Amino acid sequence: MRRALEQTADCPVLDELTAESRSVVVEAHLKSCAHCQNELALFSEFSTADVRPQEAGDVSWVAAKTAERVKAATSPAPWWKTIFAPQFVKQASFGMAALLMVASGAFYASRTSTEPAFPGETPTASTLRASSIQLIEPLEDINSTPSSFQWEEFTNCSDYQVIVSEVDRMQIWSSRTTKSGMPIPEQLKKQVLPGKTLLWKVIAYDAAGKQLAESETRKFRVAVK
Amino acid sequence: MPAMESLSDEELISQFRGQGCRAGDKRIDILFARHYPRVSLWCLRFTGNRDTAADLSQEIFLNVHKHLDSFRGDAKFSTWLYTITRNQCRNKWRATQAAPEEPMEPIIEASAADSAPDAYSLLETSELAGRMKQLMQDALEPIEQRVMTLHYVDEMPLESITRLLGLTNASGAKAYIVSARRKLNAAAARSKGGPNVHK
Repeated sequence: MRRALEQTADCPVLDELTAESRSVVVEAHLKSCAHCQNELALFSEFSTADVRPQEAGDVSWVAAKTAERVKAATSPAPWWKTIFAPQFVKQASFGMAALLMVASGAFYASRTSTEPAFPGETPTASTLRASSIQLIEPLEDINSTPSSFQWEEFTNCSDYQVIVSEVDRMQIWSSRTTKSGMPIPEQLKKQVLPGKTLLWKVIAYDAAGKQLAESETRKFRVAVK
Repeated sequence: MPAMESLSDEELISQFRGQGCRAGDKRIDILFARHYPRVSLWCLRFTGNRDTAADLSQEIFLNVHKHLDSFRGDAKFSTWLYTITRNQCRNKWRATQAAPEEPMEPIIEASAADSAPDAYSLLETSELAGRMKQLMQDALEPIEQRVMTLHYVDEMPLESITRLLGLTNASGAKAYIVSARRKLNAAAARSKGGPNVHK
């Protein structure tokens, strides 16, 4: 069934199908190909569909939320975040003294910090988080694969975002919930391997999508048996 | 120099790339603002939940942003965005299926005709795919073909198809699948001379 519905080598690309003036060859193909007719109809559904009255509020909300998040994720980092970037340091006139200062600062941070940082975190984030969301489990070394993430409820928040990353700070999973806990899905459990350290944190948002609080980033690891 | 708002999608991308793909470029804000509503609508109909739709929509645009430098200048942005949107929705659905904590309906809905070998299943071989395609073309209504494509090719759940296509009948997309299968069975049996199709 699927094979009969899929694109074949003869099918033109979508740009050819949606061109204002289709070539004779494409037009002839379109008349005889159910796949291409479907593709054209679905693309039309995507590009020209009218919002139904009962959807209008939700569509506006999703579009606004998407715009806000995409803008935040794609905007340039503020100057104070880039000041320690290797390129900047190379070109700056601080010279060896500044470099030493950065190195000693980094050394101090690595000795005093108890938590790793996710990409994009501010240098002051841990201070801000100290009295915010408290993570309950999983934390540190545990005996078996955890079944859920749990944290203490944060008052007046609308929903939470849970973010999991590798120790190299590469985010591997994220999801949102309105509860103060979330089951760990199977696809994530597959990445929770014995001996492998993962990091996680929780962010609380209000109903308007504004970030209210953030937990510290904690690590957990399933013991090797 | 024309105002950015009057530039086409492709021109905005071309200028964005010409400027070295700098983060925070206003051209991308303009480009994305044109398409947020349609992607949001698609995601909303696909997921049926605005929080999940917002997550999915965000993933789509971040994926698009990440790959803007590989966008072909001779292609249309709208078709590219549409392809990414459909793929991302399919990936999302597959990932959800892998999580037993959030069980959802099975991809293939059983029907009364599933219990025994039937004409269309016998036709489901690579050498007969072309014939099946022709049967579908001849026997099915366009809306049935669209439902079949979304369900069998995009692996889209029936509830999502019902919302996406705005189907208002009582059982939504499922009714179209059942009806299409019956028609294909009948058409296949006719074309093979009745009972001979089962040989």
